Amino acid sequence: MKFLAVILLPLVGLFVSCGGSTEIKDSLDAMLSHPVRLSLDRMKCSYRGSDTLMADSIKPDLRLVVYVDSSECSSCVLDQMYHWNEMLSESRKYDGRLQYVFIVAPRPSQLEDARLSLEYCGLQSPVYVDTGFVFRCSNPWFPSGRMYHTFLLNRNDSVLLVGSPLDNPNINELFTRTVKSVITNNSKNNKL
Amino acid sequence: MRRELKFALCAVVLVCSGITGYLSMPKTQESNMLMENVEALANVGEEPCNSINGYRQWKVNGNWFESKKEFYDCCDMKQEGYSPKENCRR
Repeated sequence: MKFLAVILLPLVGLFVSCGGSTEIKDSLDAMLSHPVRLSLDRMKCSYRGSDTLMADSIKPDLRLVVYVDSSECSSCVLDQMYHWNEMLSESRKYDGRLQYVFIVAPRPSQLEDARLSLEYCGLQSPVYVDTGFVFRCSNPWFPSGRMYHTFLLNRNDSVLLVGSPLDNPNINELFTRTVKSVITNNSKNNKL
Repeated sequence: MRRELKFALCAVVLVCSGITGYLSMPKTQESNMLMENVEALANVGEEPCNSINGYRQWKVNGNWFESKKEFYDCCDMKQEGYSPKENCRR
């Protein structure tokens, strides 16, 4: 009996301690196994509160998607979006090969507040406003946790990295490494 | 004959292991990347809220002359009568 307890207790401890990571791994596995459908053409695009059109002549190598869903679409969260400006200006060195896509999905009751917040938050990038919850409908498998709502996509719209480089220094390091490696590899392939 | 058979078998094993190693290489890189990503996300757990504290000011009903200013903590909770200190990462 003692022998069994000695064997089983550490195993139970191991399962309990790894529970959080397993949940994250399962969510990431789900994200990595599905291409993400952004369906941006079905969303309204606005820049500082005014409607605008996005016309991309070249498809970027990488896209970092920041999705703010209705549960987190408070004015405080939207007001902080200007923190992305530094990363946006840094990305200019990649000549458009890295693009940032901001999607905000407010509830109808939040729409006016969201519009005002986006107008005054100072974010120097267009924002896609997803009033019809198109993103959620196109990607029903998408995890609901906020930490999964920022992700890096490759040319085929497959997820390469999950997490916000703005909030997490470890993710930032992975993000920088991935961006450099993908862009360098694609440049080499284009030259050949 | 037996010696030749041994050589042939060794060669087959070597070629097969080489091919398997080559094919599994990108997958290993991907899985390393995945594990690094999982670890990075799991470490955020130490800090439950990633927002930035501070005063936020916004216009009321889009009116330039009417605005509100409130202090919000790291978890985006409005704190009334709170003296802000730099207790968040930023």
